[in-house]
Amino acid sequence: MTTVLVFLAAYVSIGIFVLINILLASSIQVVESSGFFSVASIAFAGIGAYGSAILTTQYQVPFGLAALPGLTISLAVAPMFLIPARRLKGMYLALSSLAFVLVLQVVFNNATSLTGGALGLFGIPIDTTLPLVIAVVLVASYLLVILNSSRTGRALRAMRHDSQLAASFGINLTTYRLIALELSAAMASLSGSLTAHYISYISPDMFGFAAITTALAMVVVGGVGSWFGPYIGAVVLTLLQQLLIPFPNWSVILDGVLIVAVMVIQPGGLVLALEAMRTRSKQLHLIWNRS
Amino acid sequence: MNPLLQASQISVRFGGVIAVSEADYHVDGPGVFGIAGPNGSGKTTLLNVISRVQRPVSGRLLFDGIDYTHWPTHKIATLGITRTFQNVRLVPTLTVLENVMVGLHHLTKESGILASWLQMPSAHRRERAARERALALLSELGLENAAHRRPQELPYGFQRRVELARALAAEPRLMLLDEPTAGMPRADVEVIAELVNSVSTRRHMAIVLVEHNVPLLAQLCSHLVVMLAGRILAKGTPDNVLSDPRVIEAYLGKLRHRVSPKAIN
Repeated sequence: MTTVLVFLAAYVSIGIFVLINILLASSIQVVESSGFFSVASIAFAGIGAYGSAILTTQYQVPFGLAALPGLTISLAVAPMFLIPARRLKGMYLALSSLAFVLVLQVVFNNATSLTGGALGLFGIPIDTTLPLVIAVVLVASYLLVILNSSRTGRALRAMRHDSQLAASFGINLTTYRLIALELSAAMASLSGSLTAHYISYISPDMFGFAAITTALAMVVVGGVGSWFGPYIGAVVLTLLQQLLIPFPNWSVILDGVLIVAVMVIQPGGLVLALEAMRTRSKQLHLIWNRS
Repeated sequence: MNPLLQASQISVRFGGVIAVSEADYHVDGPGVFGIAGPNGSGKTTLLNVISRVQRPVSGRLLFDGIDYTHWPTHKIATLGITRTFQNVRLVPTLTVLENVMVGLHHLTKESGILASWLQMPSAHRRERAARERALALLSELGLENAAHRRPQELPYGFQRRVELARALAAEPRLMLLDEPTAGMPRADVEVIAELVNSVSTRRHMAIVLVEHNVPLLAQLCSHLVVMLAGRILAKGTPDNVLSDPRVIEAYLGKLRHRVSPKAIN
């Protein structure tokens, strides 16, 4: 009986990791949908994680409240990206978000009195449960689905494809970029808090370049074209990484290999492959019914 | 009475190249107004300035008496100006219907994302109204069967019509059409000509038509401007403008004998 429970508990933890990664990968996709390929989500996850870790371990704030200050800081910092977005485009804009992540990592490393420096923070109360993570992901999914089919979603897709055209039809690029940035920052910050309160330990290297590669791999493998892409990517990559736990150095290689493979074989990501399969089966159905 | 659009002393420079130089252009009121001219004469640049996509070096823009020279691009639709582009610029990740609904964007301010997330009835109502409006426009332009397709699945002539539907959806008072018949077979050109004609009379709207197709301009326009090397070379009724020796020279080179406008048509 106990062995069965231990066995199931392992699945619970995989499930929690999958759901948290869905939140993080989606947050990158949301901001990308406004035409800004940003990895700042990793930094916002760091803010969320450190925020609630510091408050619960040093100030004994209960978990539910502790996530809020980090969330607020993320929401307050996110509009900062409107400044580089005025002048930069594409890869250059993406680099500004990379710089933000790396700068923040330096802060986590050196603000020793608050963050514990390179050693990180230990003994964070374990409060993240599967039902909680499911609830958060469900709320996020609801917001994404509605966003996708709304007037705002149309505006985002128009400006992602052709910002000049979008502006010509009355779409205020700054407003929609801000909506995307804020939603993304909130999701990323929450994913950070949930992580901190699940593994009970955080350190600066969890919010650095390796984290960027993993999150990007999820987004790219799943596909950025659809809100559902990051869901697929997060599931596939988290599960593959669980298989590679005995070989820690291989997971980074796996990320790289998967990114390259998807770029070569199916640049739109797995979500596009699924869509193609669906239309093909629909066509087959039609042919079948006709004959 | 103010003219609907008054662009005065517009100049645009790209590095050392003068694309438009001190052009005065105005549109009086409803009707079809043509702009012709050889390639590189500044027609599209002038259109870009009027729609605030291109910032002029100097000049002033008045629409219905309102100075909008320094307005941001996204406010132009609210003012009542929309446009189509020289090459088809539809969003491939949206359906034809949704592309047309992008044109309705500035008319549906009330349905912001918060209203949608909170499932407010007003947002639903707005969205439904926008959808119906877009569908009505699509069927007016003979595109009702294409509503749920992606624009890239449609033939070129249809894509052009979707662009027209999107521009019309914004309920403009001035619509700028940049070479709407470029690269079209003759039958499609006639469809577009018919559409432009009916739209301008039925909706009581001003249409600025940039075209290379001179016979089409002569057929549709009440007023024609010919540009050459960034300057406005001639303006007036199509007959007068097309018989202007300077215009004939710009198109055909220097002539020894005078040619009647019929020869150009």
